[in-house]
Amino acid sequence: MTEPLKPVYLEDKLKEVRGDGHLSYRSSSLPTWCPGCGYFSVAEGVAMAFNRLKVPSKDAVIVSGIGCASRFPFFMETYGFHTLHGRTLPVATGVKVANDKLTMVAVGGDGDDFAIGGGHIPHAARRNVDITYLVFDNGIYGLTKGQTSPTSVEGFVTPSTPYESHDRPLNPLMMLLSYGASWVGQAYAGQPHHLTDMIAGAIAHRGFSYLHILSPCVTFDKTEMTYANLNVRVRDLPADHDPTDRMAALEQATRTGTPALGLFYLEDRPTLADGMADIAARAMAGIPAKGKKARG
Amino acid sequence: MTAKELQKRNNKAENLRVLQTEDEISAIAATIGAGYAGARSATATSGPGLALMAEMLGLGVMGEVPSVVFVSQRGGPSTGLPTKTEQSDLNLAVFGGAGDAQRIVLAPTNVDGCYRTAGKAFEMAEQYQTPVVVLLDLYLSNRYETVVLPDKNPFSRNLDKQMADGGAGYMRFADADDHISPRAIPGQEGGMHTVTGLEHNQLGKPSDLPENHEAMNAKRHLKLEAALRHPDFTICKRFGDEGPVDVGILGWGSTFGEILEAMFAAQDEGIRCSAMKVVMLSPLPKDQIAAFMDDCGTVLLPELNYEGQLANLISGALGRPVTKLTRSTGSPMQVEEILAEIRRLAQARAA
Repeated sequence: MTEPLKPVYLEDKLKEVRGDGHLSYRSSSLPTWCPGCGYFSVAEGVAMAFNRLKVPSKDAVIVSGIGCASRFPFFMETYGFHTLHGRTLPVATGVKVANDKLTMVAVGGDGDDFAIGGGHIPHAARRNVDITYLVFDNGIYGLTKGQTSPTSVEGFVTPSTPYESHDRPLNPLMMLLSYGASWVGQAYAGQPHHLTDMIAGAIAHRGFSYLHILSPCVTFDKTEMTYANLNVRVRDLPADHDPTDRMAALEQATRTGTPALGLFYLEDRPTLADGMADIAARAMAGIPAKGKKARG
Repeated sequence: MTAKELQKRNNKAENLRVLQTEDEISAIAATIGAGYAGARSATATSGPGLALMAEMLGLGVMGEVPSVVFVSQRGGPSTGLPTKTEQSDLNLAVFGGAGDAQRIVLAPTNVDGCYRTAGKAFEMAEQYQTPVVVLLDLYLSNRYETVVLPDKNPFSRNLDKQMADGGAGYMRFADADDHISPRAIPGQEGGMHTVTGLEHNQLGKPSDLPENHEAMNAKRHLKLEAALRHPDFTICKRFGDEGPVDVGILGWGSTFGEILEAMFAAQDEGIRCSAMKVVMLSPLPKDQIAAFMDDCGTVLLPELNYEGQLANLISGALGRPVTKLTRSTGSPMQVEEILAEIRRLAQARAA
């Protein structure tokens, strides 16, 4: 997945960037992120994916929680909901229950999503709500100046762990594969073209798509999840990886030292809205329940 | 009613959707998400669940998103008395959450009132773009009464103030004369905006400027005053003797049934008395309550909690004393207890 190295001329690039229409998805608000932050790649990737998939701005909704990543909706010319710390997925679920036609992108960082919000992820995944869930993982709390997060390395020394952190990092990919997410992938902010492809794939999937995005915090992490380290560590998924093989996906997800980029897992199954519409139709037609009765 | 019963009964409405969430935070979050997307949405819980929902209610207030929460009160604090009745979540319903987060709180007093209040709660949530809490209690929630339902649905729909077509120069939080801003729903052309729990300006962009916070706080509070004049809804009502009386009784929720019975018994004994039910607990109908208290030699407020939460709310808001009659036994108030207190107050006044 190495980016092609060919000369890029500024004038041509500007023409391309302005000409393809993706900038219409960016709002007039300038991002509050630090220069060099991986989140710029994600914002650009989402705008380009929307443009590629011809998602009308008026039908796109971006829901977020709290944190650097969750500032994202303000920077986009779409509908947005900047909710509470950790509550991105239940709010997004409510929006989709009310109107399944909307294109839903839920975003957050590793702290927002895996610490305070961790309890909601399994339920959104197992319900297969038609949400594209982008987690910008920088392995640190950036907005509050660099404390250890649920995906920080063991032994991380930060202002909140002045000796070291005793906690083991979570493995979000293994979690999501176990929770029943119907699309699971990983991308890297340092490879923006591949990132854009993955975002477009996640949005195009009908169901709960989880895209884990490795994204360095250039301000507060100078040693671990840096571009220099990730550029060396990341690798492509094996060419023969079968995304319908969940065990193979789990096996790849265990290799956290050399994170694999690409589509880990894919499954086609009815969404929450499909199930609800089916129940409503049967109830209207007076067709009795067909499920397994708890009381026999 | 179980979720399944609810689903069976109500899925007759083709567009109705019922979601069993993983917890109360998720329940109110999804309710607010659905409200944001333009659906009429509600959730139901008890006191501890409402405590979990308090932060999200604040988001509903700040983001001006409609939602309805039905709360069937039980004994508290904490897990408390899960199968006993109490009226001790008034403080939480009216004040719960961070910051100055006024919302609408309604408390019906009987089954007929539950029906009417539920319908009006959806109207108000939509019209004033705010969370509405409907306070019930176990004694009321589990009660059967024969009521006559209207032939036609008496409630209004589409009370939402909508963005003008095309959305030229659209500002989601524009401050109008009535302080209610036109709302755009996802999917509407030209209405793109971001709702946020951060303080924001009229465009919806985060802003912590001093004058902006003051103005937006005022907007969010002043818009609710119109709820006190909401059409075809009784925010409070006086019963019994008219004009000056010796004893006036204020009440709310299911306890008002016992209050009325005690008042009739006291009248039979020759005591001049009247009672007022307060259905809207926030914003409080201060003018009507003050006018009622002007007529009363002394005011009694029986309620099922230890602290006297409505008594504290009213005496705090009006700066007038109220005689509390509080019970936290987990059981409904006894008519005899209220009657004895009315007699005592009437005798004290005569003496």
